[in-house]
Amino acid sequence: MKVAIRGIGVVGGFGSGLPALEKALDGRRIAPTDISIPTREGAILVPCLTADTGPLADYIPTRVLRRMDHYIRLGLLAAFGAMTEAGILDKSRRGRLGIIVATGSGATGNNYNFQHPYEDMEEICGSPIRFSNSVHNAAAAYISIALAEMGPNHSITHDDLSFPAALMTAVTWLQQRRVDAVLVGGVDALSHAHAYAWHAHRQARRVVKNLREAQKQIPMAGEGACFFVLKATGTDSATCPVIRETALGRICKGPLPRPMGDYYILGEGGLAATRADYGKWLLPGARATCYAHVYGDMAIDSAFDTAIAALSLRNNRIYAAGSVSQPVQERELLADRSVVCLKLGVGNTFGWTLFD
Amino acid sequence: MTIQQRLKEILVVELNLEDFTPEQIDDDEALFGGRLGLDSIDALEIVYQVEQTFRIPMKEMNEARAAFQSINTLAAFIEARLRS
Amino acid sequence: MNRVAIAGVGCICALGATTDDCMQALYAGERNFGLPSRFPSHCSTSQPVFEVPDRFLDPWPFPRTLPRTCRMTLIATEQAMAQAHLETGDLAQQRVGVSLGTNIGVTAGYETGQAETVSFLLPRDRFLATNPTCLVAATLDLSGPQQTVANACSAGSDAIGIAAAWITTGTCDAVIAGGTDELTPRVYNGFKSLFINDDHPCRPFDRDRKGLNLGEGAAVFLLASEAFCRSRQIDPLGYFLGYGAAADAQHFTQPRSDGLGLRLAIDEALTTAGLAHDQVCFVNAHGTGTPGNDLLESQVIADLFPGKPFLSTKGYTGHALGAAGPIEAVLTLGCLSRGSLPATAGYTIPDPQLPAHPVAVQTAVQGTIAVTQTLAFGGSNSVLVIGSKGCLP
Repeated sequence: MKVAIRGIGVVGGFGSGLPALEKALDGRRIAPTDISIPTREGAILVPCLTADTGPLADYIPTRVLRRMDHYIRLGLLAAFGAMTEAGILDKSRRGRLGIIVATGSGATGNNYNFQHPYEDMEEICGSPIRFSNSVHNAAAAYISIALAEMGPNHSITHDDLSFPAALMTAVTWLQQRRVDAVLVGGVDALSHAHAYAWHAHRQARRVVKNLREAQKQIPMAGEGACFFVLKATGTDSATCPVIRETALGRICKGPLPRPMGDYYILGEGGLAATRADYGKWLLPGARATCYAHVYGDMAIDSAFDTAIAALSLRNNRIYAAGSVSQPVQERELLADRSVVCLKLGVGNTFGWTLFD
Repeated sequence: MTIQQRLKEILVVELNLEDFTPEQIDDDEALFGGRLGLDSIDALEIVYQVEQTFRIPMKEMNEARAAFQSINTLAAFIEARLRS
Repeated sequence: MNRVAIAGVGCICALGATTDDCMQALYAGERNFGLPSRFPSHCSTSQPVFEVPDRFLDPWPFPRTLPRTCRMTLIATEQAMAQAHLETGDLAQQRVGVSLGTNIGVTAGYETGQAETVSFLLPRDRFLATNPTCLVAATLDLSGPQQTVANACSAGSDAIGIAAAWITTGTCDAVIAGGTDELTPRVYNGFKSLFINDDHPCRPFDRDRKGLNLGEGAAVFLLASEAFCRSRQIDPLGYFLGYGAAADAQHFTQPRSDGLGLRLAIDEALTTAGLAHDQVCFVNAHGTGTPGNDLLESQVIADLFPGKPFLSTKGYTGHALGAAGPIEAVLTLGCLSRGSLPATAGYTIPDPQLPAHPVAVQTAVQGTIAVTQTLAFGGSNSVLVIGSKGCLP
């Protein structure tokens, strides 16, 4: 079933809102922030692409936000951005709305936390506010409360296949006519484990000259949120990017279930991705780019790739900031290429989205 | 630092009351239903912070409820428990 | 949602190590609660829980180095496969998905004692080594979609609902669907800080109820299309007929006192099943034993299912978080098949404020359709409609 993207909201190291993302896609340099990462040997400083949720005050008074932590605020900011662009912030214009939130690093950004023995967890255990914020559906719940939306509410935590799974669930709900629209997106607060992995990889590159994976440039750890409002295609969505098909599965023996695309945006960021073999998925002659350096390494990277694909379709552009085997020409047009977002993920799994 | 001052710091920092400094909270003003805008989750958080800071275990919320009128009533409750 | 067949079932919780053991213990009135035995020594352990003892896990060929959440899932999955007369390789490389709900199973081992053994791995590999969905998919070599649902207490019910949709929309022929969660200090102390736990064994719907007891376990359904069942000569044990979900959208930790979210979820579930409220022969309530939850559920059940018997089984299992919905779905199917409800364990004194009261003694029920409902932190309400073998016209 085809679905139209009616609204997009984003926040990341590049700033918040689509104009900020587009500037970064055009090559504006994003300054990283040094983050103190605790380790057993003491704290280290690691540059990361961090996101500012200050603009959330445009939507929600700060006194209402006071107990909500950074992870929840990232989700709220991007969700409100998407709802605003779709014109359905007003409940009377909304119909029945479903909400789906994907995350890899999870509430409080701690899913991959590697330095917390039980003793340190007393702080999370005993404080009711911190405990509440650590419950995995925190972002989805607060989004539903902020929007006063009683439709189905769903949270998915499946590492880097979280967003493709969320997108597939959103399409399923629209296919079933369970809801009139779906607010679906990904949120990842900075994961210390990802930051440490980047740091360790950089150290390894200095030491081991011939390490094959070390030849690839690995993006810094990032954080952010990216939300979409999806609706079934109809007469009023002629100018909206349209998703034709989504697929999700695990690679087994036999031919790969490749999407038929001309231009692939690959979710290639991150250390483990160097082991994945994206080449086998591309049709001969297809163009491919990767934008992980724009938003940083995080599990929900495919949400940002989907936003970039939508921008490419809206603006008939292939953006220059993609790191590629063949360089992107300035103002290169997308033309009639069919766009695919492709993510190879945890446990030999794949998720792809083919646009109309 | 007095118990009242410590409690006000806890309120501002742990409940993230960005609009207030500790000095701006009156010792006798209503903690709930007043301008601070605290609710039931904040009450639970105060119980936890009091337990951690003053080492006073609280087994039932009912014990704490009566003491939660103001900074002064809460300080009196804590002092009484510390003495016993 | 059209109906989806239940080809096999597996369950492990405080009641027992298998589905049959659980049903037997249920009707025998067994309540296996105690103080937490596995927490580090400095953690407070004054409130009872419903643990799955090691002796339930040890006979199964799944290593102790795996998180308990994963071991229990693999055990329940093996039971479900065996019940459908399927071997491990029989579903390999077919359009079979995995949809599981969990809270602990997404934390990559850091709170389940695996932190030391996985901390050297890259984050992605850490998740792979500790996530039950990934492990089931790898063990059975499945090529279908995977999803780990993290909707707090309704995660497992929602995982089942989504899995059923994968089948009815033609994405999958079968899905391993269910939920799993183990007891951890973080959750135990978190609930304690919110004054949600009871110091005594829980008392659902009782006048003197004070809160819940946490539990743990896993329950898994092999869901399948009827065509899949026919092609493998599997006689379905029952059916999922409908699924509904709605958000309270009001408070993060407390349910809406008017129960509106639950009402919407029940309505959606029955509408998608094409059933009227009076066709439901009993309700398996969420029934945690907290004052607020039990009050609103009693009101909703009295309004929507007047005169119908209902029970809570959490007095036997504790609240197993992501596994709660699937465990209760297993018990609901078992009760439907036997035509009988066990007593609501922990309930002795009716609360005069409640308009409806659960069954206090073993009670015969007639009918083929039941509802099981789950209410979650964050305000999610999930409802499943279950039909026994005889529910088909």
